[in-house]
Amino acid sequence: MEYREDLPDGCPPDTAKPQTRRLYRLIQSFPPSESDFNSQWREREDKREEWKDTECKAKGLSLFISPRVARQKAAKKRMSRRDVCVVNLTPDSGPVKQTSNVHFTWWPLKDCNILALCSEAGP
Amino acid sequence: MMFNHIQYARTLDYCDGILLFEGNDPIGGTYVGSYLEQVEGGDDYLVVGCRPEMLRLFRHGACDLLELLTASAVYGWCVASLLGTKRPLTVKGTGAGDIPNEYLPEPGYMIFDSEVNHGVVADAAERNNFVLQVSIEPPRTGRGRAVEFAVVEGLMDRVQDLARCAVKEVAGSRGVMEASRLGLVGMSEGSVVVTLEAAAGLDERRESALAQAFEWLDSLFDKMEVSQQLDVDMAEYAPATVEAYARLMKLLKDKETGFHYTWAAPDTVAPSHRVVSLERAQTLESELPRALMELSLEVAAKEVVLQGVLEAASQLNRRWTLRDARGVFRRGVIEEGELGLDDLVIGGQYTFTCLERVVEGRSGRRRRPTLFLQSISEP
Repeated sequence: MEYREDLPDGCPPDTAKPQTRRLYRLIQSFPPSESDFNSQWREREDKREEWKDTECKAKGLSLFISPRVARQKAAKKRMSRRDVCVVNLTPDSGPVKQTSNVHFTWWPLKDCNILALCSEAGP
Repeated sequence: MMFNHIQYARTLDYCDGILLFEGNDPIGGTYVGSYLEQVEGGDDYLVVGCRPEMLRLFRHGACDLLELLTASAVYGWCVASLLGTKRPLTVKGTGAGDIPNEYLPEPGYMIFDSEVNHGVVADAAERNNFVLQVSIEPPRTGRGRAVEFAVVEGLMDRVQDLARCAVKEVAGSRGVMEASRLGLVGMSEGSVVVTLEAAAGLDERRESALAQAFEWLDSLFDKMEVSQQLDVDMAEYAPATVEAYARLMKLLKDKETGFHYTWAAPDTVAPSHRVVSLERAQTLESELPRALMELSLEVAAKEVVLQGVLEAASQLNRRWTLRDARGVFRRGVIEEGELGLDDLVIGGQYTFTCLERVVEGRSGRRRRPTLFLQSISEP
């Protein structure tokens, strides 16, 4: 299985699995662009060596259970991305792992057309 | 507290950066760091020393982060920068006693620790059966390490009741008692962690009605976790299901505990788990009775036109879900031999004309409106 990022051994974890599910992603503004789906690993290249331990997580994308939770997270982390879009995950999108009661990490497959999975989120 | 010698040990939660981590000091102290803000070169965290037992409870979903941090603050706390996972934390300031509110997380923040939950998958494979593990952590479980029998009995009663309602929701009434029955297979000492399995085992297709029911229950728990309109959201469920859920919330409130469940079927790769914090249980327990009362007021059949995005449609189960412009999920059914749902596109915009019928609940005291789809058009 080929992923969008070059993942380290054991990544994604066994507990991540493909899902048919509607989750939410923080973006700059709707419609989203490719850069809204850059991983932390891509965005913070200068930190790669220091944060090697979290490489697997940093190469995943954060998704949220609801638009409200996503917006709360954006406010708390003072993120530049403040808008929210729906990501309609399918079994072909790549494995997803739920990491808390509101947060998921997604490792997209190489062939996954991420923007085609997105739609506008409600209020 | 040796705040000056804390070393990052592992990430507990990650979201575009480390949100929560576990740390250690050279003499075996355990710490938890909770994200505050980004600073030059790294991130600042609120760091508290905590008892390993308290951290274990948090990882099991038996308490939320707010409880973990506030309970641990008596041992002191600090604000420190994490500049890399290989370096000790840089302490910027220390405190004692209450932590300022601006440093604390929202109530209900809980992690899903797969290391903790993975045993259920192995158990399901070994037993070749659906396995469910439920846990609560009341502050007083009894004398010493013994668990009060009434607490276990109450928990089992509510979980069984909820399982029965869920099986009925997904598979209908036939054989519901047999298909939903859970059998106790183990308990761990010191806290209320109970492992159960499907009494009926798997069917001839190697499936368990309880696995399907808990998949459905997972979505109910998800909805209740974020719902801000309980009366609207609860209208989609049978009153008996809402009552069963409300009874569980009342138990949690009365016993002052959060709730965590994990389940797996024999062919499951990753366990499924959900948590309810004590804070959320208290809110739900106080608001659900009002939502139930509102459900009982609607008594007449009327035509309802819904416009929105199709979220789900199953010809097999004759059920559909539409999300309207306000973001409200409306669920309904089609009658056998009526409209077909197979040609609809998930995510497509539709106008559904429905007949909202009022159906008397099982108890006869409450009534449940159900949306029957009459016609479909695209706006």
